[in-house]
Amino acid sequence: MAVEMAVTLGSLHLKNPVMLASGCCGYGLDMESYLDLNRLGGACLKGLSVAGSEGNPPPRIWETQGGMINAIGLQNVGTRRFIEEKAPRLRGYDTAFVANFYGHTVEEYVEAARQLDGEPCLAALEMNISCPNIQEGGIHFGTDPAMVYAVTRACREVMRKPLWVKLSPNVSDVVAVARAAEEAGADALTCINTMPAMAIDVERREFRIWNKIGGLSGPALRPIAIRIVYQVSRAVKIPVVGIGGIATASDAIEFLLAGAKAVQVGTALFVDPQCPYSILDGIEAYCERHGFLSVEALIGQIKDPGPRPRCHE
Amino acid sequence: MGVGPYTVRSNVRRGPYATLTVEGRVEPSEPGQFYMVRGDWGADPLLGRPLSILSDDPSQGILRFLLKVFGEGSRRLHALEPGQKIRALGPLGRPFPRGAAYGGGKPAFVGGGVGVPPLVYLAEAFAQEGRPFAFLQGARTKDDLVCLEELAALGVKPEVTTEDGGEGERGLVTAPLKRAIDLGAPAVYACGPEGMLKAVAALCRGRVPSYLSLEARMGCGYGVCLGCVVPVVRDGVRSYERVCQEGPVFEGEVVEWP
Repeated sequence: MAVEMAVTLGSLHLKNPVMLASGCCGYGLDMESYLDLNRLGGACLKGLSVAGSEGNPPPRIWETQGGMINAIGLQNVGTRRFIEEKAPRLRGYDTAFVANFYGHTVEEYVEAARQLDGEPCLAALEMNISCPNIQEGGIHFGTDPAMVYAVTRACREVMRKPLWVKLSPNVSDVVAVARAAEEAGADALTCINTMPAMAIDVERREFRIWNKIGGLSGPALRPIAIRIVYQVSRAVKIPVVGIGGIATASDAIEFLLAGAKAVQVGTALFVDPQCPYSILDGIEAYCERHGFLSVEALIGQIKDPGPRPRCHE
Repeated sequence: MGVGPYTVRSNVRRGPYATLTVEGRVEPSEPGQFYMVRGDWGADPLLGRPLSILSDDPSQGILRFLLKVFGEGSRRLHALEPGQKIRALGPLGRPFPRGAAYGGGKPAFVGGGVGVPPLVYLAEAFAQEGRPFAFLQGARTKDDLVCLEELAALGVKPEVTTEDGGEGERGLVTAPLKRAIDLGAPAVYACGPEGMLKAVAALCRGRVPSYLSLEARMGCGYGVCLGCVVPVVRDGVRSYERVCQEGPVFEGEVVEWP
């Protein structure tokens, strides 16, 4: 029995649901020695801004239990250099490259979206409104539904390609933020970005990373991500892309069952750059074992227990 | 590039240090390169640990590292027993550039603690080519002198300094290094604690090219996470470069110290 691995996110067709996460695969090219990108559903590239950024001073990362905190500071070459120097080398691939982008103002978001929208190697753009590591903008855009609506709308109006919006877990009502992005014209929602976090060296009484606060990623984040994918996918009509601590096929399937149409693998690539292969093989084997003819048939298929009496009723 | 599993053949512990020998498919490497090493233990600790290659033998599928216990990851590597599996990604990073050492005179190799292994590997390469060099090892105490057996096997007699005078010359390794430079060392290769590397860079500046292998906390080891950067200045322009990719070996002249 051959399992149909392809998934469709609106107008975008992915050959399978496994993608590489932004910030964890450079501009795709850096993975070439380890992975055949053509075997993947796609890759979300390192977050780009119009001006580019040299990033934060070190130390930038700190390992925590089952995860890590990073404050890279969105180091990137800028949209123009990306288009001139990196993109030409991505054009020969048969996979969905998604450019992640951010700004410090709505105008910067719009200009980045406008420039990247013209790049033929890109299948979609992923708007980062949830990075904890830049001084202004970033996460502030992602916590207020009215702001999310405004920045999403403004970018949507200057773009033709699908627009994904990457949400922060650090909000009290993630569904309100998700709905605001959907109403503003987002084509998909990526859930979730890292969780703002901190670690302290108690002997030296110093912050572990230069930026003091960074973003928590890795397996420790997964239960939060699963919960948000579940809540958001039931509240919106557009597809949800799940991300947060995926390292194994079982992790990825958990996201698909919660309602994600595709998944992104991030921090696990640091540990094993070839883990997407075993994740893909494992998803296929799972579908065979459980009688699913396609990955699409699996999505959202967590069993709903319905109303149940409590023991005292 | 090897990403595969390796089997521990031996793990010889001496105090906080351990010489770890593993077997598996080994790609050819150069002195100064490293592997990201991790045991077969679930999600915690999560990340691999960057370990310099002490020696390898691709034809026999053998890879050797020296490690020291610093935290939980290295403590578990220190406790590995023969037969256990590990994962090692590598060889990674840019090796020591050797051209400058070939101009006549004896280049100086300067190592301290877990910074010694890549210089032992470099010494092995120089010894095979029949080229001369001076090997300097600095340590806090006698117990922190490492790789003495490996050096003896290469026929290398290291010039040793200890801070407490328990072995060799009392003091810092910069004293014999200064003498080596005065004797006309054409290049200096160093790996060790940050204080040592900073002193080596200062001593060499403007006199002799120095190549320093830096240590950094790494996320991935292969260039994608941008977690291990150091500030460098090239042609007056300051930027962050990745220790795992543009390094771990940097010219002493370009490194900006904290």
